[in-house]
Amino acid sequence: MISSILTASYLWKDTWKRWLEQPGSILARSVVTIIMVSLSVLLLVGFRMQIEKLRFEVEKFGLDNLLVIETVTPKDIAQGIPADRFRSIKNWGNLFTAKKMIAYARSSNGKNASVVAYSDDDYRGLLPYLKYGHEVFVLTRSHPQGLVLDYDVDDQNFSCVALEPEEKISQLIQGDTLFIPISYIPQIANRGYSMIYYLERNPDSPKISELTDAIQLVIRADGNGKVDIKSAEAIKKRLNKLESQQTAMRLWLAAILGGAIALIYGVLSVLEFRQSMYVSALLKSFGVSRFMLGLRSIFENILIVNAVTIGLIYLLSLYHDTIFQALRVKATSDIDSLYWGQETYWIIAAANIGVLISSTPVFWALRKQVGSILE
Amino acid sequence: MLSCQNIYYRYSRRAPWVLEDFSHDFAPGIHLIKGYSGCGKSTLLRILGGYLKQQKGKVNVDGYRKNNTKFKKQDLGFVFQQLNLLPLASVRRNLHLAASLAGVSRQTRNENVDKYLNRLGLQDFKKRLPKSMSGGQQQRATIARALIKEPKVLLLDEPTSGLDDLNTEVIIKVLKEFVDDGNRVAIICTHDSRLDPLADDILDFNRFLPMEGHLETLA
Repeated sequence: MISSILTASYLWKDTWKRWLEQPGSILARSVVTIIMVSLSVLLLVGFRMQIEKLRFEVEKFGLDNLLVIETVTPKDIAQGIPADRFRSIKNWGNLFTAKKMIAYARSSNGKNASVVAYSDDDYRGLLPYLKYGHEVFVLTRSHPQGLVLDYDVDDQNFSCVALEPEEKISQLIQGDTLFIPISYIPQIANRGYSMIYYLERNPDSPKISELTDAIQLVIRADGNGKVDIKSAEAIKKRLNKLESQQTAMRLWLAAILGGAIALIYGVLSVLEFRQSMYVSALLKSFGVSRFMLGLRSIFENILIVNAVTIGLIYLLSLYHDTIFQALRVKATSDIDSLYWGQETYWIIAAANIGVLISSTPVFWALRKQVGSILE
Repeated sequence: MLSCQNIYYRYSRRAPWVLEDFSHDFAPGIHLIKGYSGCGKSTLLRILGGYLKQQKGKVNVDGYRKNNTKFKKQDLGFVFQQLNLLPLASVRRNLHLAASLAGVSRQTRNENVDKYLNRLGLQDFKKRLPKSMSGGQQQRATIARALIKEPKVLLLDEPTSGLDDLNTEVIIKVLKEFVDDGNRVAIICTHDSRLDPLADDILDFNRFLPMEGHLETLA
């Protein structure tokens, strides 16, 4: 035991002296590690953010919900394609419908709002807002609730009350949106619009995928393809595809990182071993095992790789917002789980495996007979 | 005590044999190996110490037929021609490390460090680093390090080359004491005739070489 401590302490002293005398070698290893690890970590964190974003979308949209947006052009209206042809899906759940018009409402303070028209059939979905007794209302988060605002739509003036949108309807509108009964603006409807259907499926109804198939069948039969169908299932499919792609990329990244570290550390270790060969041979002549002498190279490189890698990951997590804002990617708030999760453990593991592989030539060189080194 | 049988050694496949069918028994006592430079003295010493592996033949040590590592650790002291001290360790630490690796107990180790440093006149140098010592002092320190574990076999490669008479005298005295108990063997490769009176046996390596060829090589 005491001999191992004495040997280890001498080897550490020898290593430390070499580091001080040749800082270039430790610097070279650190720079390689910094470049490889930061690239890998940023890529993996970027992947993770993509997945988190899709997961959030699935969660927000809901697994049992379906959104259909049909673009109705003046030509369609002239050809008599039924405006509400998908309204029958209300039999399968709670349906919200509305028409997003091709028009803008201008407010007295110069801020524009989108215009959504609703008919009697759409009343049910709008009850949470209509219950206040105002037929015309604006859903907005930029004005205090209850404030009365004036909007001009096609030279018609509307006084309306500001209401805060609920979570569900927020997914269907963007920014301030003025809701007006269609009977007040019939001339605008003739310019075309987007018909919005948002279905919350009943548990005993057909599956979302079956409903989607049925809608697509109708579209094909009518010969009108300007319909967007969005469901959590589609997002989930994208999510699954992305996850499997990223698993493969993670493996490649780990292999490239480990390989690069093994190669560069291996070359540097051999060069350094040549310098310390004399001390190694001398210790070997006293009976120090080859394993212990090789362990020095592993320990030295593991120390550098882990100190640099863990320090770097910590720094990247600290400056996550700045980095991803510079890359024009929206930063997420849960940074700890992004940086200290499975992805980064892969990086650390790959770097350490690289170090182990890099020590192979050193162990090989340690086989050289003491008598051919010492004179 | 120590013997070798039919030893063959060459440094590469194309090189000539340095040792060819060499056999010898080394009984307890002091053996000098003498001969021209390049005749294979140092090579034989390293083979006996297990630091070079012979291509053919056997080296036998009493009690250590197979476990060569244990022999090297515990019962072999080796002094290389160059001054091989650990450069970052003091003389005392050099001795302690060698003794602890040989499994010498703490108490014996502490006693032996002082004993051998005193015998070799190094008591005032025990805290010194090798680079701050003269060649003679370093040579004595390497001998002290080889003796600290009180081995059964001591192999020395040119231990007195370049040393003055005073240093040589100290070394001769210590070597005499080493073999005093009649159970130890010291084998010394040397050109130094000052060591001749010390020897129980002198092995002339020149007789294994074709003189003409060797002189041509030297020329």
